[in-house]
Amino acid sequence: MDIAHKNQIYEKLADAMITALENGEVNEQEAAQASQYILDHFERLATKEALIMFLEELSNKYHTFTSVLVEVKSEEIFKDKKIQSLQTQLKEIL
Amino acid sequence: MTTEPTTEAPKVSTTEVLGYGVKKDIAGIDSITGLSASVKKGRELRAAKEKGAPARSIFHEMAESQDRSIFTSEDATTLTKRFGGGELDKDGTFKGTPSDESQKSHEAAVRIVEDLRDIVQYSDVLTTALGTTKEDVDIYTEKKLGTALEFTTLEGKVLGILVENDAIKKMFPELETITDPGLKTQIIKEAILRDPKLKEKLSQKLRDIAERAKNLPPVEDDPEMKEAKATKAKAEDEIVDNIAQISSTLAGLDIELSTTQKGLIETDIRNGRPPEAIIRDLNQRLTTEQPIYKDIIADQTTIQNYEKLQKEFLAATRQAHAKSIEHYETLLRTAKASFDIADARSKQPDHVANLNKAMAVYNLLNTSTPIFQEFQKAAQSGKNSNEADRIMERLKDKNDENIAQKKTERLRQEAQLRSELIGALSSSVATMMAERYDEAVLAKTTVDTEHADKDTKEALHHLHDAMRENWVKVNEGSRDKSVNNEQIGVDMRFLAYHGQDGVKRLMLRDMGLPLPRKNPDGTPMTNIDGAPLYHDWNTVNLDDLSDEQKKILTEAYASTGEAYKDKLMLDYFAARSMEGANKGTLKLEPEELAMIEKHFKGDMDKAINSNAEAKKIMEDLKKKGIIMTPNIKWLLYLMVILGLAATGVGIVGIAAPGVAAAGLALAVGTAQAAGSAMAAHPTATVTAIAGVMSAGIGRKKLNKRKVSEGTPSKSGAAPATKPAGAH
Repeated sequence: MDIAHKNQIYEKLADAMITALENGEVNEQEAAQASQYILDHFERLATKEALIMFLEELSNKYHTFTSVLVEVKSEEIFKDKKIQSLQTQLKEIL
Repeated sequence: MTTEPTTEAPKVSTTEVLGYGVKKDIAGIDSITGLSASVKKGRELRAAKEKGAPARSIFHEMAESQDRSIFTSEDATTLTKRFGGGELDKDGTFKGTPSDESQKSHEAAVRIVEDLRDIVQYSDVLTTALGTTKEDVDIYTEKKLGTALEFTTLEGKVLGILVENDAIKKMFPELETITDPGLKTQIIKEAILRDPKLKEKLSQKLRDIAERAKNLPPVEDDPEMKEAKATKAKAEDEIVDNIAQISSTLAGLDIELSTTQKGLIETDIRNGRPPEAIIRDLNQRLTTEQPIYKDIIADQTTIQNYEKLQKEFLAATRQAHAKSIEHYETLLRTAKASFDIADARSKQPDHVANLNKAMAVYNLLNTSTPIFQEFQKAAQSGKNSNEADRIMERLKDKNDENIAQKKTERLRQEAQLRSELIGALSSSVATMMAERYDEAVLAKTTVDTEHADKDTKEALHHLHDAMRENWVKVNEGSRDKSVNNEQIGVDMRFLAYHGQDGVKRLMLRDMGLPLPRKNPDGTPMTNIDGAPLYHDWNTVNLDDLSDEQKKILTEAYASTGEAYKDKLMLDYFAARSMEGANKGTLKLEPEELAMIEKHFKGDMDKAINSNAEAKKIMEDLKKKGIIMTPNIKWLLYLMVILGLAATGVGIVGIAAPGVAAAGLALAVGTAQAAGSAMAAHPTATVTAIAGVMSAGIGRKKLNKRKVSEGTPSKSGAAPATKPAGAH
């Protein structure tokens, strides 16, 4: 997995948590527990599949992070579609 | 079982629960609605992030701010990872196929810790609801702990564990007489689980155990074996690195090694072959696999040899050495044919193309090249690996034996910690109750003599001293508690038979007022030796007291009578909880309990009705047609005098050896007793001094005030059977 991309997601998770705290959507205890959970798991993630599984589990436990999961999944779908589109164009050219 | 508490139990509001309730309400509200603190924290983190703090440090900062008073699910997971015979890795998964013992140890710990975590979580929800208008279930869902259905399951599970806990059964024997399971669980819920102290004590206990679990001895190889394995691993890594380096170097020379060739080299290295032999074989294989290399090399050799001859011939010509010239001419003529063939072939395109590769293969045999040195390093790594194998083989049996011993010890220590985990609930309840008991007793024995006159003041001081020392005495230095079972039992029965009058007489005793007998003419009564005679405090006609004594008794009874009686009852519960309600002098027969209820009905009703929770329970019982037995009323009364939750059994079981906290043990399917729970409280060393204090402090005071001849000892004042003078 691309480390830069992974770090971006790390930052997005932090942003999501901070926003939820600022908006009063989570209390400190929940945020603390979520933080511990993220610290325990995130850095060990080695593949995209593992990352998505982690985000799914995290979002299940703490809905605050659902937006990050949706974003990452969308990126993947978009990427797949882009590849498909390019493949279609190539076929047309050939 | 799981739905009883919510479907059958009369609903008890959570406000005004116990003395602590009011104070904790504020914290409760704060913890659930204290969003301003969260917002503030969010803003702090936002500012830090905008200044460039990375996500990792943000999460660290937040995690460290976690409320450590609660044992969380994450804590539970971390703790259970320590159990497994040392066969688990840091992620909490078994490194290989675990042994049965290790697997069982792990699984047992998981079950116990999950139960305890559930108790903490459930108690946390209940205490958070204190002082709010929210239902427990709403708090649970707001905390995002699960769904309403999951809360019902959690509640059923936790209450089931608590109901079956032997320590709690022992503390609250009246619960056993309650046949309505909903009422029983409701009382446990309000009396024990809604007290924030429980989750705090239990969390603290669990964290203590978790800290010690970190120090469980590792099950690892002996140092020599560890070193050999490290050497082996290092050598293996080096072999892999060396082969990669050799491949890379050869690739740089335009020679690609096939997987087979790499495998053969690795085998040779592991077999400890000398580098020269490995290289020679490689050279042969390469030239065999690519015959053209051999031809090129041969041709190059022919060409080089011919060119060398030419140079030597030229040199001989320059020296005009006829014999040498002739010799070289012969050699050149002989070599010319081979040279021409080689020269012609070397100009062919495929030879030209393969020339470098072929020469590189040829040069492999040159021991001064870097590639040769790489082979030498690889060979050394191979040797190291083989040597490590030999050492490991030599150490294996002893190491295995030691590992087995270490594992046995580890599993023993894990079992010990599990036993402590099993006892943690009972221990925490006992500690919580001990604190509640101490607080209540302090309140009951606080002297307020500001408005009393000198004599009453002195009498009240004696009375309060006696209250602190008569039944359960706390050593203020060590905080150890001494329990005089006999005195408690005797005095309780005295109250059963004498009611309010009994309270006054006990107070009379403990105030140590002298009670001289008088003749009808008012003169002091003496024996034949002329010594004054005294009334017994338990038989004296109260009307015979002097006006001054009547005044003192009246004032003392009005100001302290209720606290005096409550203290005795609290101590009775403390004592019976340690010794068992049916033991020796502590045993009160049902009719004696009924008499207490009859005599003190007014006090009990007043106390119960003054407490919203207790009152509601009474009303619900009436609605359900359940008869309010003396036992239930007794229980509710005791709960009230310590706040609804805490019956005055704080020191219950603290020092009762052999008392099994089987409630949780049953819940987790083990039969381990929780004796350790009883030893957890600082006041654990309670010395039961039944009998020893039969001539206790109260009596000493009486003696000081000239106890009349024949006055029964304090403990003997009211016999175990119906006392003299009882009506």
